[in-house]
Amino acid sequence: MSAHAELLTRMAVTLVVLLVAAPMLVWVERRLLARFQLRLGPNRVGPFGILQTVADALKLLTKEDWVPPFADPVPYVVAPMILGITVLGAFAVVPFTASGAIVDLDVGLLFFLAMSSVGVYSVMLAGVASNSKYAMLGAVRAAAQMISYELAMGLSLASIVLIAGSFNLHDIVVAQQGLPYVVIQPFAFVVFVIAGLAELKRAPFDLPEAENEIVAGFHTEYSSMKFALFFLGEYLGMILIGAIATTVFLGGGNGPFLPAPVWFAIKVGLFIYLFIWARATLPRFRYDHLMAFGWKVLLPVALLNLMVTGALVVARTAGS
Amino acid sequence: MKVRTHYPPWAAVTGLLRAMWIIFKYQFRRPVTIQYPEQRAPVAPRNRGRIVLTRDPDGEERCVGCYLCAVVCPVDCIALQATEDEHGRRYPEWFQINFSRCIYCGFCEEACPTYAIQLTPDYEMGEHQRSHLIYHKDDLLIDGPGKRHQYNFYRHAGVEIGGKDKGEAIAEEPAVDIRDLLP
Amino acid sequence: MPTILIDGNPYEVAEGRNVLQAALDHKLDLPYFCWHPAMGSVGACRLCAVKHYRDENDEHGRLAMGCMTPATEGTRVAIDEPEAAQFRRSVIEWLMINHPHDCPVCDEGGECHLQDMTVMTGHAHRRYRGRKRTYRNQYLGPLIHHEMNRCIQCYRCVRFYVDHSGGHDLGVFASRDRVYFGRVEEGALESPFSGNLVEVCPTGVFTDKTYRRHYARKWDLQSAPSICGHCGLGCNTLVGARYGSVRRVANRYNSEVNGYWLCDRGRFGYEHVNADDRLLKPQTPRRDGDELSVSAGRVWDEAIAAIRVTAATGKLAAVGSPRASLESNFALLTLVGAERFCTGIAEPERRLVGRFAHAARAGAFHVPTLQEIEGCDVILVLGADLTHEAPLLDLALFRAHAAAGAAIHLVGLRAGRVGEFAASFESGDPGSIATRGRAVAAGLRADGGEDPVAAVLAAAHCPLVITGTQHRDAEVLEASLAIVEALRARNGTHPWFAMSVSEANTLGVELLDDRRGMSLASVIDAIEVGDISVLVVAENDLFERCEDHRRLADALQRLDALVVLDHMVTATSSLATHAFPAATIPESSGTLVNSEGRIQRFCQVLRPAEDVVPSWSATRDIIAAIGRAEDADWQHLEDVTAAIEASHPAFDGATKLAPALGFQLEHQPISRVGHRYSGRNATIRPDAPDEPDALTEVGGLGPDGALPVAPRTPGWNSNEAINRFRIEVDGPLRGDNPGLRIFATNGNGAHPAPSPLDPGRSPAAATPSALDTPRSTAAATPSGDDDTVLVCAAAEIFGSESMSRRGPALAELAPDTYLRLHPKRAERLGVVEGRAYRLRLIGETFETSLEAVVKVDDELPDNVAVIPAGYAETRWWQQPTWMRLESVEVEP
Repeated sequence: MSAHAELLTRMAVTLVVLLVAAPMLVWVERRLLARFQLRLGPNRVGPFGILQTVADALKLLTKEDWVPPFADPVPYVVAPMILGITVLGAFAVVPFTASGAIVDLDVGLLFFLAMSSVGVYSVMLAGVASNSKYAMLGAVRAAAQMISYELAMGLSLASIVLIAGSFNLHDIVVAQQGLPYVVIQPFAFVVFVIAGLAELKRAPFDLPEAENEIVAGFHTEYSSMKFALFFLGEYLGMILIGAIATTVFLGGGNGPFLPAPVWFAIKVGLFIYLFIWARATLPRFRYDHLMAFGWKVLLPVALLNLMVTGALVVARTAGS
Repeated sequence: MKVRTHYPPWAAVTGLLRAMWIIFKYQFRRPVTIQYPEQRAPVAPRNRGRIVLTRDPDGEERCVGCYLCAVVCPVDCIALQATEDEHGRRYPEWFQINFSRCIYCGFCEEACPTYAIQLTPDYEMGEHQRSHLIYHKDDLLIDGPGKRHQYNFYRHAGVEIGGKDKGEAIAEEPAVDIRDLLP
Repeated sequence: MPTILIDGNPYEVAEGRNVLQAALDHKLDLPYFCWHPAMGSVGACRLCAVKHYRDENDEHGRLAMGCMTPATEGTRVAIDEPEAAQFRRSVIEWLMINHPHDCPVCDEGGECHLQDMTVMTGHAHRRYRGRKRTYRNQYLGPLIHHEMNRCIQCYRCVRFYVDHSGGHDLGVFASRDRVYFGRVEEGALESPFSGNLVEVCPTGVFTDKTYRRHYARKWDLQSAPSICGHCGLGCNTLVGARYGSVRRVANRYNSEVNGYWLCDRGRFGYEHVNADDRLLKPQTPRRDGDELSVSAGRVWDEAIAAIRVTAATGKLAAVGSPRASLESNFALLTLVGAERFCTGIAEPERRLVGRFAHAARAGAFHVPTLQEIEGCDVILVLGADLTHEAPLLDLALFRAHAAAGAAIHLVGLRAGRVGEFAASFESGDPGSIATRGRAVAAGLRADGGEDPVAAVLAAAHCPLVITGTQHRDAEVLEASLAIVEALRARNGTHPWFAMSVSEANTLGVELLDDRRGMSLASVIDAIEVGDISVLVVAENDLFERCEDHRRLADALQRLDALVVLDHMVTATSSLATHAFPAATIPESSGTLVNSEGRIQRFCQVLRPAEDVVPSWSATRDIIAAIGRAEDADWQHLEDVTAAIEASHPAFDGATKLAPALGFQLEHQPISRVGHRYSGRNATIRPDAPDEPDALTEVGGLGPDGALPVAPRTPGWNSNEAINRFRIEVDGPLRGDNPGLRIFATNGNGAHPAPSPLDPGRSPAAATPSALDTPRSTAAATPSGDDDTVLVCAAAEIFGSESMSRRGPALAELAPDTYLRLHPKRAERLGVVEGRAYRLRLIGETFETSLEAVVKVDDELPDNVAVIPAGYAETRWWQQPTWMRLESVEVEP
């Protein structure tokens, strides 16, 4: 097999797995949320209701593709695409298998951070192009929130990079053969998971789409396939954050007995479970609390962690 | 009860973890969902659902067209027209309730002096067209007495109707002989 | 004004009041049953008990009946006192012992004085567990339903029926607790005022039988102030409608016109509005069988095309109607111009009305209100049968007789009910009535003389002469005016004179026309010579206005187009080329002028069927469609009324009779329905279009005073609530607008006894103008042909009026077509009392036939035959006519 063929195969397999997993995740989330709330959740379409998302997707696909007359059409249409592309693009550097990612990029972690930053534009464009007050408010909230928490996220990852000495995600996985970084870097782990939740705009950080205040936030004016893209982006984002956390803190596919992709999937699954669990438990932040927490708690903790880590790394290299 | 106003700094974390733990345990509890339509919630006999017009124990319409239900209705969804048969018995010529407006408050049942209008536990009234939610007398009138089995308004009222002359109602003297001059 | 203390608070009360009236004057809640503002106190019901203290030191007081305690200076009473309150509660509890469990099926429920009083006294719990007394009901005719079980023995019914209105056939029977209010035997109540029992009875013993057939509660009725259109008196009514049909007519209190009362024709005559045979769609009646296939739009286009062409050639004319509003008549007048407009009043009556209006406007006499008539002491009725022509005038006469002891002298063809209490009755044909009148006038001029009537009139403090139009005899009117003139010369005061007219707006349309237009005869002549080729007729049946039906029919057939606007199918509308539906009085707003010269406004009560519009609005559309929109630039009725005011100074002020367009009370238009109106959302319905006037169909607040749409205040749901809307008991309403009097010679408002003569007014004004030389057919007696009789028509209260007789209840009461003859005349003709004949009546210029039951009446003059006026078979009759009678065959 040529290198190109292998690359294409990896891409195709990843794409198919992701595009099946994301809708499945919708069903999993709804069933799980229901269980947390003493309900049953969707259980009618197909066995255990597993085809519920298929039905939903079909509904969304067959709906009229409509651009509101008051919206700015080009950015309005482009916005959901940006989200889809950036999230899917970030998966290129995630090492699912023992042999590494689709693209073995030396700046893999930076690429992930860059992609997630570009993702903000999707939300911003959607909100502004919708030309409606709720969408605008949602977009403004999203921008402020993502910029605030991206900092903490980047700083928490920086401490890992310091330890691993590489931005290459595969290298980071390899570096955790012995001990996963969650043990050495618990503060970075916590900061990353919290900041990741905020990046995902999920409860308790779902202010940009707070239903009871601003209808549906930045995607208020979206319907049909374009709405489905936002939806898909959100759930792919969950997998992505879970995958990065797995890679960086839980040693990726490392594990005994089972093949690497299976271990990877189990670990990602744990993160997804955690996200859903948090959504079922925690109420939405108040906006000032959100900002205060991001800037006054998360950022100092990440900075301190980075300083201490840096000092220890310097001490160790000096010592050796 | 003493209300705590000051918390230690770690209370935020412990509270959060405790909440997470409580919710975690909920997963293993029995769901409360009732799987309608296979399963049905038990409905109390006095549950306020679909409105019916009942008949008295003799099988005649109880409604006498007094308009009290219509006037007490807070959403004004009841309309009727009273008329009477050749023997003087009042009944509604037509009666309609717009269930797309009805709020099932039961005021009509409370106002009804003859126990004619009653709310039943039936709540399954979905329709595809709003106009189908306007129930006419044919749709409302049932063949039984509903909750009050024995009551018959005309057995208490003083008016004469077919089959009941003056003085034949409950607790009535026979009609006065106005030509009687006895003291 | 004495000051009395009620519950420790001082209240100023008018002189001569009792404590109950004083309390009600000040809007205090003091329960009562048997007291009635018009009928006074009897102290029978014991409900208005108050604590009466001797003086300010009296701490115990004693129970006294409010209605029997005079409110004199310093009277100290307590309403809110435990013993009095307990007493009143006990009275209700005693009454409730036998009151049946009927409220849900009782038509009084919701507007029941007994319900109100029960709540007011606080009797809420029934302790009595025994058996209730019951009665059998009586059949009281098609108008009144009897439910004797509900009676609380307040005696109001007999007090009204017998004492107040002079009826005979309702009484109180039996003894002890078996007291029974009814007739000696079953049968229709004979008094023409029996309908008032419905309102007088504080509970549901007497209820409206026509209302019963399509019953709705008071709170569900859509009501607006209206005017009765069934005679010339213009009684104020409150019409109630529901679901697009008129349900009942109730009295609307007007301190100067009808007070608390209505006659049965006015109360039950509404049924024609709901009749099946109404004209509801534009039609082309002359075409064969394809009426329904012609669209409304096409009928309109054709009619407009015909009118447009004719208007250009000047061959267009219009006939108005005395039963249509001023606005409708004015619109027609605008369409054709004053010279081509005909009032539509039959020629003989038009002369009388014109003469009367002319003399009244010239100030020859004062036309009294009904309330003023009740204060007269001598009344001469010359040639009028008021019971059947203008029933409430009959009641006013009875009140004058019963309350003030007035002497009433009748000269006429038939005495009617007035004959029962009149001091004298002289029967005669129209000619002899006039002669008798002249004799009275001569007697007055000769200082009383030997004429007994003249002597009484001469001695009277407040004499009144009343005449009518039913004989259509100008000599009778001239004789009446001669008496009035003699009274003026004698007493030096404005004499009082009243004339009943036959229809609601007879006087108004005559004043509008002001003798400038065509007469009906000249219209027919003009059609025959081809001077009129298109005729527009509004709300009028010309066959009721014209003797020679064959000639009229031929003339109408000759027309290129006959456009009829009417709400009924009539003989005229059946001959129309284009017939358009018009709105009835309850379906439209407009202005009427009653026989007293009072301009009154009626307001639209309900929305008519789709194609039905008021005649004025249809006529306005015609004017606009023929390209003269600027002549009739009217959006609303108010615009038409304003145009009338501008062109006819006689009607100055007519626009102020109703709240102006856009009038709002508490930022909302006046609602036609109360806030408890039910069933608004029972159907899914399109939004109602915007209301054009100050009244709306839904929402809004009930008015307080100015327009009592349906008088009710918290705690007072029955018509007794009227006391809350008046300045004082039995006085005018707050913000009252009882109408505008055109003929007020002494200004508006209360009118005392005849006032001194205004020297500025010349008595000569009362003499007839050359234009209308009076003509009396009756005067010319033909040669002694034994078979020739003077055919006269007698108005019948139920049957003579063209609209009310279309309702089933009144039709049932209308007598069959009769021919009334003196026994000798009947013998000569060979006809027998009580049998039906087909009769031929042959006059000089026309002949006709009639199926009638012969009735023999020895009070009639020998030379007279009387037929009922205004029946379908007798509507040709316009004036007394000498005719030869032939009985053709005996009906089996």
